[in-house]
Amino acid sequence: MAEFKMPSLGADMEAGTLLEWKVAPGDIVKRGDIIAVVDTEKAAIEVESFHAGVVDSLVVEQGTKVPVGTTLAVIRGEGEPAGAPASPPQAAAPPSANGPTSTPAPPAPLRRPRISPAARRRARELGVDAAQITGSGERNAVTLADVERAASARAADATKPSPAPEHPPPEAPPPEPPPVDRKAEVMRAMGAAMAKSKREIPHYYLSNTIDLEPAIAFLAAENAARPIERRIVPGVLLLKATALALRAIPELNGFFEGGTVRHAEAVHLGTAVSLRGGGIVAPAIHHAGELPLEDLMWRLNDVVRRARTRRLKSSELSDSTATVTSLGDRGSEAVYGVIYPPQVALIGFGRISERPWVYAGQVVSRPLVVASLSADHRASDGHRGAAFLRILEDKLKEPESL
Amino acid sequence: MTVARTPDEVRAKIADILRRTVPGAQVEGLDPKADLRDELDMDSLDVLNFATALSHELEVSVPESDYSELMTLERCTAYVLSK
Repeated sequence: MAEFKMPSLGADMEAGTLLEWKVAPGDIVKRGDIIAVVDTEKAAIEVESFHAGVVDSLVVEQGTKVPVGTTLAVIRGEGEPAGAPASPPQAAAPPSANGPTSTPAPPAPLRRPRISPAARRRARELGVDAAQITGSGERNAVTLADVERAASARAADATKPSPAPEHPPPEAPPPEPPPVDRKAEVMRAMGAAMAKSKREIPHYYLSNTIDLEPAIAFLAAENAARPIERRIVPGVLLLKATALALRAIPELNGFFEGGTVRHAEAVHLGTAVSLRGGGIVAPAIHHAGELPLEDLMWRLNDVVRRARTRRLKSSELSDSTATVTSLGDRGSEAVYGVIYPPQVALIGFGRISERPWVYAGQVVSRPLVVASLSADHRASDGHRGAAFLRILEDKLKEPESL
Repeated sequence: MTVARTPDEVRAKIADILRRTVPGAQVEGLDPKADLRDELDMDSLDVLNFATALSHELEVSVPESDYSELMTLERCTAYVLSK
């Protein structure tokens, strides 16, 4: 038996609301399948399963807000007997000292009947409680016909006067996200993570001004030959070069947790996306260093769109090994970012702009960008940090290699 | 070439594309001379997606060097009509 718990989708998350179950007891799930949608301050997140097996029971009702770590569902491995009581679902570990979080006692597991997705949908439409139906299908599964029958029986009942309802109230439809001041919540969550970062992480900062003339010329030539929907923005070159440089300096790619540094094997680049109306999320682009520019462009566009329409996957919020913030063409000249714990580095790019630059002994106008590194002094030092920025610059001077 | 278009039709179409490519954009009441990137908080991806939709739906080809011509409602309308 494996317990599927409310995941921590970032250092700033303390609790989440289970918005919607995407599975029901009896469903077979693979690792990576979306099994629930969880609402956090920042987004509705599609949460993926870490386990393969059969959904045994759903522990938390839709619409319930629970602390990180609370058991949401029990998944049994293939071949394990149904309903074998594993360790009883536990409520979360005590919430962090950062703030008061109520820890509700976990409700009893909801043993739902086997039911097909179509029948479940119909039951929801008709307001019929599927748990009250005796199934006529294979292994007592509740079928569409069973649901229809139960609904008409109830309708017949309803014409008779009855002093008290015999049945428990029908299953509620999936609830809407609770009405909250989203902007205030985002600011509060971001503030908590950044306060933790500045309290605990000994930041050091380095920056280099990089001449992007070769990179911009390379892109202009590339894009001129491409149809408009396949054009690439300069930010994609910055991301790719960063991922390659991180691969060369592993001290900057990973985590500081429990007093030790853990280097990550792959480079999953968190990409800061500003949300309209306020706040930032930094979903991961997995294996960013291995993607051809065109694929990286597609992934960036996809992840930004989903971040802004509040549809990210849990792995995208928890897997980043370092983060990039790129201010774009309307931003400031330079940014010295705050590291997102437990990561150990944040790479910042200011606005790309034409400025004077000495090239071949002459002062000329070139497109320049200030690249900065904010890094955790417990995981690296300025010597390695400088090496990182030098490699980054070298990569951007040879855009054909990206 | 494409069908004849009036400035009003083009303006309406541009507003429609902005609404779709920049989710949550308040297009009504925009100053026709104001920079869309500032008014609607558009980043370079938004600009590219806007230019892409404009190019497909209004049948104008937009080279990368012309993106800046699209960045106010007034100039964008004139750009489309000039094509």
